Amino acid sequence: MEAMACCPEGGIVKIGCQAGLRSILMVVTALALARCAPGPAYDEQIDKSLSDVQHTVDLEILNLISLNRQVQQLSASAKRLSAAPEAQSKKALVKVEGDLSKAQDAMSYASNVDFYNGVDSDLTSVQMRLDGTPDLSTPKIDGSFAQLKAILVDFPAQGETPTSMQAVHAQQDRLSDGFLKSTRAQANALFGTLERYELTLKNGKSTPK
Amino acid sequence: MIDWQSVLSDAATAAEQVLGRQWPAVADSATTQIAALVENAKFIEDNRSGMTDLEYRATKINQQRALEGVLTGFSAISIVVAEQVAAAVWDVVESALKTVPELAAFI
Repeated sequence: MEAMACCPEGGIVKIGCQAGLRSILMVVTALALARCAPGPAYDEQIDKSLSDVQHTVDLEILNLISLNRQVQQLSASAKRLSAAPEAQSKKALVKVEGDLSKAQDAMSYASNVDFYNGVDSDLTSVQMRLDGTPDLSTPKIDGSFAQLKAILVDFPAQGETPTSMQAVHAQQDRLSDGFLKSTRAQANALFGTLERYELTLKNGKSTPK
Repeated sequence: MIDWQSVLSDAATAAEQVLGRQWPAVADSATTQIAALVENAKFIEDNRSGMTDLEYRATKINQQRALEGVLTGFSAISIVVAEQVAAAVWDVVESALKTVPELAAFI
């Protein structure tokens, strides 16, 4: 198979059988263009930050579950002691009621605002760092971040029902064990996915060109 | 009576269709996360009476968000894997082509 080309000195020359070489050049060009897309690089700081935020969220949820249990136990003790006639029971009741008040205060929304602000800020920082070297995967991983924030910290628009852990906590001032455990599973599924994304980058050792 | 095994099977099949059959390792990881969410869906229904109405509605919405976020995230992982495969292919091709004198100028 022959190809024709314009000769610099004018006229037309037959190039000869170079169809195979042209095909190879086309493949080389296509691969080179694909290779040139820089893509996200593995970032140890992102990896660590994600792990830290996951741990913070997990610990907070477990603390709130512990406080729920503590409040239940102290409430039961207070009820038992208030029914007992002995003077010693009255003294113990004062202590139990004090502990109960502290536990109820610790599980209130006001006492946990710093946690929510911290998580919101940390997730935003990690996402911004990840978006620093965008590629085709970036909009999709941004979607995962958006869902995680919606589950944990976002407040609803005016007139809409609260759904995030923070918004429900702000509305009710406390959260049930069932809601906390469910939120923990949902958040950890998303954190696991984000960490798998970072691990994939690490294993592939993608580096920007 | 909900057949949770059937729910998990259907969810895994749906995930495979979204992620494609090209990346078995990615599909395995995705299935693990999806299984955890299916388990959580069962937990939500079993513990409904211990939640307020607001919490129950909220956590069901968040369950959908979590599933979408996991699938979207693994779609991102699939893209990265595809990029890495393309890069690996290029590395092999590049090494081979460098041995061809006529092509050396282009690489």
